[in-house]
Amino acid sequence: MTARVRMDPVARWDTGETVYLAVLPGGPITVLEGSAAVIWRAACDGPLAETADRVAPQVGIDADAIRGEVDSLVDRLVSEGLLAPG
Amino acid sequence: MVEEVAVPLEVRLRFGRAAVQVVADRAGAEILHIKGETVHESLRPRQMGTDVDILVRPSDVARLDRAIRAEGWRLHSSFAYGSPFAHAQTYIHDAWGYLDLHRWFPGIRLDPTDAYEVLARGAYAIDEVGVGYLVPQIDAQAVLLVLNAARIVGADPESTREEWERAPRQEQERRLRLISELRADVAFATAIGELERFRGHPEYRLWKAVSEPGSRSAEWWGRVRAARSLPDALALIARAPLVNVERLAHLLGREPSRREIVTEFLRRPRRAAAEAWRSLRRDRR
Repeated sequence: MTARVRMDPVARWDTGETVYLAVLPGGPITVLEGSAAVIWRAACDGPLAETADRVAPQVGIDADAIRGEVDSLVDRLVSEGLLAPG
Repeated sequence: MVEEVAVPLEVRLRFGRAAVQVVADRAGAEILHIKGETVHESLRPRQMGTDVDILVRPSDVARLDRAIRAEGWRLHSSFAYGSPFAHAQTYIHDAWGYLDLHRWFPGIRLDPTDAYEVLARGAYAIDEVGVGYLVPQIDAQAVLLVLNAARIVGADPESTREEWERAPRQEQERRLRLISELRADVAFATAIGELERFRGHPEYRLWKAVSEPGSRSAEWWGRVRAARSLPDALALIARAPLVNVERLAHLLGREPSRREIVTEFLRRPRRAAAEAWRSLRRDRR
Protein backbone atom coordinates (compact mmCIF):
# COMPACT_ATOMS: atom_id res chain seq x y z
CA MET A 1 0.00 0.00 0.00
CA THR A 2 2.51 2.60 -1.16
CA ALA A 3 1.47 5.80 -2.91
CA ARG A 4 2.34 5.62 -6.60
CA VAL A 5 1.54 7.83 -9.52
CA ARG A 6 -1.30 6.46 -11.63
CA MET A 7 -1.22 5.42 -15.28
CA ASP A 8 -1.07 9.00 -16.61
CA PRO A 9 2.34 10.31 -15.63
CA VAL A 10 2.54 13.13 -13.12
CA ALA A 11 5.11 15.90 -13.51
CA ARG A 12 6.59 17.03 -10.19
CA TRP A 13 8.76 20.00 -9.24
CA ASP A 14 9.56 20.51 -5.56
CA THR A 15 11.32 23.73 -4.56
CA GLY A 16 11.46 22.68 -0.90
CA GLU A 17 8.73 25.16 -0.07
CA THR A 18 6.30 24.65 -2.90
CA VAL A 19 5.33 21.54 -4.85
CA TYR A 20 4.06 21.83 -8.41
CA LEU A 21 2.19 18.87 -9.88
CA ALA A 22 0.42 18.16 -13.15
CA VAL A 23 -1.14 15.13 -14.75
CA LEU A 24 0.34 14.79 -18.22
CA PRO A 25 -0.20 15.60 -20.91
CA GLY A 26 -3.19 17.83 -20.21
CA GLY A 27 -2.49 19.56 -16.89
CA PRO A 28 -3.43 21.89 -15.27
CA ILE A 29 -0.65 22.64 -12.79
CA THR A 30 -1.58 22.26 -9.14
CA VAL A 31 0.40 24.20 -6.55
CA LEU A 32 0.83 22.86 -3.02
CA GLU A 33 2.29 25.15 -0.40
CA GLY A 34 2.99 24.91 3.33
CA SER A 35 1.19 22.04 5.01
CA ALA A 36 -0.23 20.83 1.68
CA ALA A 37 3.30 20.26 0.39
CA VAL A 38 4.26 18.45 3.62
CA ILE A 39 1.23 16.19 3.30
CA TRP A 40 1.94 15.37 -0.36
CA ARG A 41 5.53 14.38 0.42
CA ALA A 42 4.37 12.24 3.33
CA ALA A 43 1.72 10.60 1.14
CA CYS A 44 4.43 9.61 -1.35
CA ASP A 45 6.45 7.95 1.41
CA GLY A 46 4.16 5.09 2.35
CA PRO A 47 0.58 3.82 2.65
CA LEU A 48 -1.92 6.61 2.03
CA ALA A 49 -4.04 5.58 5.01
CA GLU A 50 -1.11 6.32 7.34
CA THR A 51 -0.21 9.71 5.86
CA ALA A 52 -1.40 11.61 8.95
CA ASP A 53 0.84 9.41 11.13
CA ARG A 54 3.85 10.42 9.05
CA VAL A 55 2.92 14.10 8.99
CA ALA A 56 2.28 14.38 12.76
CA PRO A 57 5.90 14.09 14.01
CA GLN A 58 7.03 16.62 11.41
CA VAL A 59 4.61 19.28 12.62
CA GLY A 60 4.49 18.32 16.31
CA ILE A 61 0.74 17.73 16.39
CA ASP A 62 -1.13 14.61 17.44
CA ALA A 63 -2.00 12.53 14.35
CA ASP A 64 -5.66 12.16 15.30
CA ALA A 65 -6.02 15.94 15.50
CA ILE A 66 -5.08 16.36 11.83
CA ARG A 67 -6.23 13.04 10.34
CA GLY A 68 -9.48 14.43 8.94
CA GLU A 69 -7.80 17.32 7.10
CA VAL A 70 -4.91 15.18 5.90
CA ASP A 71 -7.15 12.40 4.58
CA SER A 72 -9.36 14.95 2.87
CA LEU A 73 -6.41 16.42 0.97
CA VAL A 74 -5.07 12.96 0.11
CA ASP A 75 -8.49 11.95 -1.26
CA ARG A 76 -8.58 15.08 -3.37
CA LEU A 77 -5.12 14.48 -4.80
CA VAL A 78 -6.10 10.90 -5.63
CA SER A 79 -9.32 12.01 -7.33
CA GLU A 80 -7.34 14.50 -9.43
CA GLY A 81 -4.88 11.83 -10.52
CA LEU A 82 -1.98 13.42 -8.65
CA LEU A 83 -1.61 10.43 -6.32
CA ALA A 84 -2.35 6.79 -7.10
CA PRO A 85 -4.91 5.17 -4.83
CA GLY A 86 -3.21 2.82 -2.44
CA MET B 1 -5.13 24.38 1.08
CA VAL B 2 -5.04 23.44 -2.63
CA GLU B 3 -5.37 26.06 -5.31
CA GLU B 4 -4.47 26.65 -8.92
CA VAL B 5 -2.38 29.81 -9.33
CA ALA B 6 0.08 31.35 -11.77
CA VAL B 7 3.29 29.31 -11.78
CA PRO B 8 6.89 30.30 -12.53
CA LEU B 9 7.89 30.12 -16.17
CA GLU B 10 10.63 27.58 -15.41
CA VAL B 11 8.04 25.17 -14.05
CA ARG B 12 5.58 25.70 -16.88
CA LEU B 13 8.24 25.15 -19.54
CA ARG B 14 9.63 22.01 -17.90
CA PHE B 15 6.16 20.56 -17.49
CA GLY B 16 5.38 21.57 -21.07
CA ARG B 17 8.41 19.65 -22.32
CA ALA B 18 7.35 16.62 -20.31
CA ALA B 19 3.79 16.89 -21.65
CA VAL B 20 4.97 17.01 -25.26
CA GLN B 21 7.25 14.04 -24.61
CA VAL B 22 4.34 12.00 -23.23
CA VAL B 23 2.30 12.75 -26.35
CA ALA B 24 5.25 11.96 -28.65
CA ASP B 25 5.90 8.65 -26.89
CA ARG B 26 2.26 7.63 -27.16
CA ALA B 27 2.16 8.62 -30.84
CA GLY B 28 5.44 6.83 -31.58
CA ALA B 29 7.08 10.04 -32.72
CA GLU B 30 10.78 10.62 -32.18
CA ILE B 31 11.80 14.06 -30.94
CA LEU B 32 14.80 15.94 -29.57
CA HIS B 33 14.39 18.83 -27.17
CA ILE B 34 16.43 21.88 -28.11
CA LYS B 35 17.20 25.45 -26.97
CA GLY B 36 16.20 27.20 -23.75
CA GLU B 37 16.87 25.43 -20.50
CA THR B 38 18.00 22.24 -22.25
CA VAL B 39 21.27 23.87 -23.35
CA HIS B 40 24.18 22.46 -21.36
CA GLU B 41 25.65 24.77 -18.73
CA SER B 42 29.14 24.42 -20.20
CA LEU B 43 27.91 26.25 -23.30
CA ARG B 44 25.91 29.02 -21.71
CA PRO B 45 24.65 29.97 -18.26
CA ARG B 46 21.29 28.32 -17.61
CA GLN B 47 18.73 30.39 -19.46
CA MET B 48 15.00 29.88 -19.64
CA GLY B 49 13.38 30.36 -23.01
CA THR B 50 9.85 31.57 -23.42
CA ASP B 51 8.58 28.49 -25.20
CA VAL B 52 9.28 24.82 -25.72
CA ASP B 53 11.34 23.93 -28.81
CA ILE B 54 11.53 20.45 -30.25
CA LEU B 55 13.07 18.93 -33.37
CA VAL B 56 10.97 16.11 -34.82
CA ARG B 57 12.17 13.25 -36.99
CA PRO B 58 10.77 14.43 -40.34
CA SER B 59 8.84 11.22 -41.01
CA ASP B 60 7.05 11.67 -37.64
CA VAL B 61 5.94 15.28 -38.11
CA ALA B 62 2.43 14.51 -39.39
CA ARG B 63 1.64 12.00 -36.66
CA LEU B 64 2.95 14.26 -33.91
CA ASP B 65 0.98 17.18 -35.35
CA ARG B 66 -2.22 15.11 -35.17
CA ALA B 67 -1.43 13.84 -31.68
CA ILE B 68 -0.67 17.18 -30.08
CA ARG B 69 -3.73 18.82 -31.64
CA ALA B 70 -5.84 16.03 -30.17
CA GLU B 71 -4.37 16.81 -26.74
CA GLY B 72 -5.22 20.51 -26.64
CA TRP B 73 -2.44 22.30 -28.53
CA ARG B 74 -3.83 24.77 -31.06
CA LEU B 75 -1.99 25.86 -34.19
CA HIS B 76 -0.65 29.42 -33.81
CA SER B 77 1.41 29.74 -37.01
CA SER B 78 2.09 27.18 -39.72
CA PHE B 79 5.29 26.05 -41.45
CA ALA B 80 4.40 28.12 -44.50
CA TYR B 81 4.17 31.41 -42.68
CA GLY B 82 6.12 30.92 -39.44
CA SER B 83 9.49 32.12 -40.74
CA PRO B 84 11.39 32.66 -44.00
CA PHE B 85 12.79 29.13 -43.58
CA ALA B 86 9.38 27.44 -43.19
CA HIS B 87 11.08 25.25 -40.63
CA ALA B 88 8.82 25.44 -37.60
CA GLN B 89 5.19 25.38 -36.67
CA THR B 90 4.03 27.08 -33.48
CA TYR B 91 1.25 25.81 -31.23
CA ILE B 92 -0.25 27.14 -28.03
CA HIS B 93 -1.65 25.18 -25.10
CA ASP B 94 -3.72 26.59 -22.25
CA ALA B 95 -1.48 25.05 -19.58
CA TRP B 96 1.94 24.93 -21.26
CA GLY B 97 2.08 28.00 -23.49
CA TYR B 98 3.94 28.02 -26.80
CA LEU B 99 5.49 25.04 -28.53
CA ASP B 100 7.76 25.38 -31.58
CA LEU B 101 7.80 22.17 -33.58
CA HIS B 102 10.85 22.15 -35.88
CA ARG B 103 10.86 19.84 -38.87
CA TRP B 104 14.41 20.93 -39.67
CA PHE B 105 16.89 23.45 -38.35
CA PRO B 106 17.64 26.61 -40.38
CA GLY B 107 21.15 26.68 -41.74
CA ILE B 108 21.48 22.92 -42.14
CA ARG B 109 21.54 21.90 -45.79
CA LEU B 110 21.87 18.17 -45.23
CA ASP B 111 18.66 16.27 -45.98
CA PRO B 112 16.41 16.79 -42.91
CA THR B 113 16.08 13.08 -42.14
CA ASP B 114 19.82 12.54 -42.34
CA ALA B 115 20.38 15.70 -40.29
CA TYR B 116 18.04 14.39 -37.60
CA GLU B 117 20.08 11.19 -37.43
CA VAL B 118 23.28 13.19 -37.03
CA LEU B 119 21.79 15.38 -34.28
CA ALA B 120 20.27 12.39 -32.47
CA ARG B 121 23.63 10.59 -32.43
CA GLY B 122 24.85 10.52 -28.84
CA ALA B 123 21.75 12.31 -27.53
CA TYR B 124 21.35 12.08 -23.76
CA ALA B 125 18.35 12.14 -21.43
CA ILE B 126 17.27 14.87 -19.05
CA ASP B 127 14.69 14.04 -16.38
CA GLU B 128 13.86 16.91 -14.07
CA VAL B 129 10.15 16.42 -13.44
CA GLY B 130 9.61 12.68 -13.62
CA VAL B 131 9.46 12.32 -17.41
CA GLY B 132 12.71 11.96 -19.34
CA TYR B 133 13.42 13.47 -22.73
CA LEU B 134 16.37 13.48 -25.11
CA VAL B 135 18.60 16.43 -25.96
CA PRO B 136 21.42 16.47 -28.56
CA GLN B 137 24.94 15.81 -27.34
CA ILE B 138 26.91 18.87 -26.27
CA ASP B 139 28.83 19.43 -29.53
CA ALA B 140 25.55 19.32 -31.46
CA GLN B 141 24.03 21.78 -29.01
CA ALA B 142 26.97 24.13 -29.56
CA VAL B 143 26.46 23.93 -33.31
CA LEU B 144 22.71 24.61 -33.02
CA LEU B 145 23.44 27.60 -30.78
CA VAL B 146 25.79 29.18 -33.29
CA LEU B 147 23.45 28.45 -36.23
CA ASN B 148 20.64 30.03 -34.27
CA ALA B 149 22.76 33.14 -33.72
CA ALA B 150 23.10 33.47 -37.51
CA ARG B 151 19.38 34.28 -37.72
CA ILE B 152 19.35 37.03 -35.14
CA VAL B 153 19.10 40.38 -36.89
CA GLY B 154 21.67 42.75 -35.45
CA ALA B 155 23.52 39.98 -33.57
CA ASP B 156 27.17 40.73 -32.88
CA PRO B 157 29.24 38.25 -34.93
CA GLU B 158 32.36 39.22 -32.99
CA SER B 159 30.91 38.06 -29.69
CA THR B 160 29.61 34.87 -31.34
CA ARG B 161 33.09 34.21 -32.68
CA GLU B 162 34.66 34.88 -29.28
CA GLU B 163 32.16 32.52 -27.68
CA TRP B 164 32.97 29.86 -30.28
CA GLU B 165 36.73 30.26 -29.85
CA ARG B 166 36.50 30.01 -26.09
CA ALA B 167 36.05 26.25 -26.47
CA PRO B 168 39.26 24.15 -26.44
CA ARG B 169 40.80 23.53 -29.88
CA GLN B 170 39.77 19.85 -29.93
CA GLU B 171 36.13 20.75 -29.27
CA GLN B 172 36.19 23.39 -31.99
CA GLU B 173 37.56 20.85 -34.46
CA ARG B 174 34.90 18.29 -33.56
CA ARG B 175 32.21 20.92 -33.95
CA LEU B 176 33.58 22.11 -37.29
CA ARG B 177 33.45 18.52 -38.53
CA LEU B 178 29.83 18.38 -37.42
CA ILE B 179 29.06 21.64 -39.26
CA SER B 180 30.64 20.19 -42.35
CA GLU B 181 28.67 16.95 -42.01
CA LEU B 182 25.44 18.95 -41.60
CA ARG B 183 26.41 21.15 -44.55
CA ALA B 184 25.85 24.22 -42.41
CA ASP B 185 28.94 26.18 -43.40
CA VAL B 186 27.12 29.23 -44.83
CA ALA B 187 25.00 29.76 -41.73
CA PHE B 188 28.07 29.23 -39.54
CA ALA B 189 30.00 31.81 -41.55
CA THR B 190 27.09 34.22 -41.14
CA ALA B 191 27.09 33.76 -37.39
CA ILE B 192 30.78 34.59 -37.04
CA GLY B 193 30.75 37.46 -39.55
CA GLU B 194 32.33 35.71 -42.55
CA LEU B 195 29.32 35.49 -44.86
CA GLU B 196 31.15 37.43 -47.57
CA ARG B 197 33.32 34.34 -48.16
CA PHE B 198 30.15 32.83 -49.68
CA ARG B 199 29.19 35.64 -52.02
CA GLY B 200 27.63 33.95 -55.07
CA HIS B 201 26.51 30.91 -53.08
CA PRO B 202 22.75 30.14 -53.55
CA GLU B 203 22.21 30.77 -49.83
CA TYR B 204 24.14 34.05 -49.70
CA ARG B 205 21.19 36.40 -50.24
CA LEU B 206 18.97 34.59 -47.77
CA TRP B 207 21.52 34.81 -44.95
CA LYS B 208 22.31 38.38 -45.87
CA ALA B 209 18.61 39.18 -45.65
CA VAL B 210 17.88 37.41 -42.37
CA SER B 211 21.00 38.55 -40.54
CA GLU B 212 20.82 42.22 -41.46
CA PRO B 213 17.96 44.68 -41.15
CA GLY B 214 16.27 44.74 -44.55
CA SER B 215 13.04 44.58 -46.43
CA ARG B 216 10.62 41.67 -46.55
CA SER B 217 11.04 41.49 -50.32
CA ALA B 218 14.76 40.85 -49.90
CA GLU B 219 13.97 38.07 -47.47
CA TRP B 220 11.55 36.43 -49.90
CA TRP B 221 13.97 36.79 -52.78
CA GLY B 222 16.68 35.22 -50.63
CA ARG B 223 14.37 32.34 -49.84
CA VAL B 224 13.67 31.75 -53.50
CA ARG B 225 17.39 31.74 -54.32
CA ALA B 226 18.12 29.29 -51.53
CA ALA B 227 15.20 26.91 -52.24
CA ARG B 228 16.33 23.29 -52.38
CA SER B 229 14.74 22.56 -55.75
CA LEU B 230 12.91 24.22 -58.62
CA PRO B 231 9.44 23.06 -57.41
CA ASP B 232 10.28 24.47 -53.95
CA ALA B 233 11.28 27.77 -55.53
CA LEU B 234 8.10 27.95 -57.59
CA ALA B 235 5.99 27.19 -54.51
CA LEU B 236 7.64 30.07 -52.70
CA ILE B 237 7.06 32.42 -55.57
CA ALA B 238 3.43 31.35 -55.72
CA ARG B 239 2.96 31.95 -52.04
CA ALA B 240 4.87 35.20 -51.66
CA PRO B 241 2.12 37.57 -52.77
CA LEU B 242 -0.58 35.85 -50.72
CA VAL B 243 -1.88 37.30 -47.50
CA ASN B 244 -0.50 35.68 -44.35
CA VAL B 245 -3.91 35.12 -42.81
CA GLU B 246 -2.44 33.73 -39.58
CA ARG B 247 -0.27 36.81 -39.02
CA LEU B 248 -3.19 39.08 -39.82
CA ALA B 249 -5.32 37.22 -37.29
CA HIS B 250 -2.66 37.70 -34.60
CA LEU B 251 -2.41 41.40 -35.39
CA LEU B 252 -6.17 41.82 -35.20
CA GLY B 253 -6.59 39.52 -32.23
CA ARG B 254 -9.36 37.60 -34.04
CA GLU B 255 -10.08 35.83 -37.29
CA PRO B 256 -9.94 38.40 -40.10
CA SER B 257 -13.05 38.90 -42.17
CA ARG B 258 -13.05 38.20 -45.90
CA ARG B 259 -13.08 41.96 -46.49
CA GLU B 260 -10.02 42.48 -44.28
CA ILE B 261 -8.14 39.72 -46.13
CA VAL B 262 -8.99 41.35 -49.45
CA THR B 263 -7.89 44.76 -48.14
CA GLU B 264 -4.56 43.27 -46.96
CA PHE B 265 -4.15 41.48 -50.28
CA LEU B 266 -4.56 44.73 -52.17
CA ARG B 267 -2.23 46.54 -49.77
CA ARG B 268 0.68 44.08 -50.21
CA PRO B 269 1.64 44.81 -53.82
CA ARG B 270 1.87 48.50 -52.92
CA ARG B 271 4.08 47.67 -49.93
CA ALA B 272 6.26 45.41 -52.10
CA ALA B 273 6.55 48.14 -54.70
CA ALA B 274 7.54 50.66 -52.06
CA GLU B 275 10.20 48.29 -50.72
CA ALA B 276 11.55 47.72 -54.24
CA TRP B 277 11.77 51.48 -54.73
CA ARG B 278 13.65 51.97 -51.44
CA SER B 279 16.00 49.12 -52.33
CA LEU B 280 16.68 50.68 -55.73
CA ARG B 281 17.49 54.02 -54.15
CA ARG B 282 19.83 52.37 -51.63
CA ASP B 283 21.66 50.58 -54.46
CA ARG B 284 22.15 53.84 -56.35
CA ARG B 285 23.78 55.57 -53.41
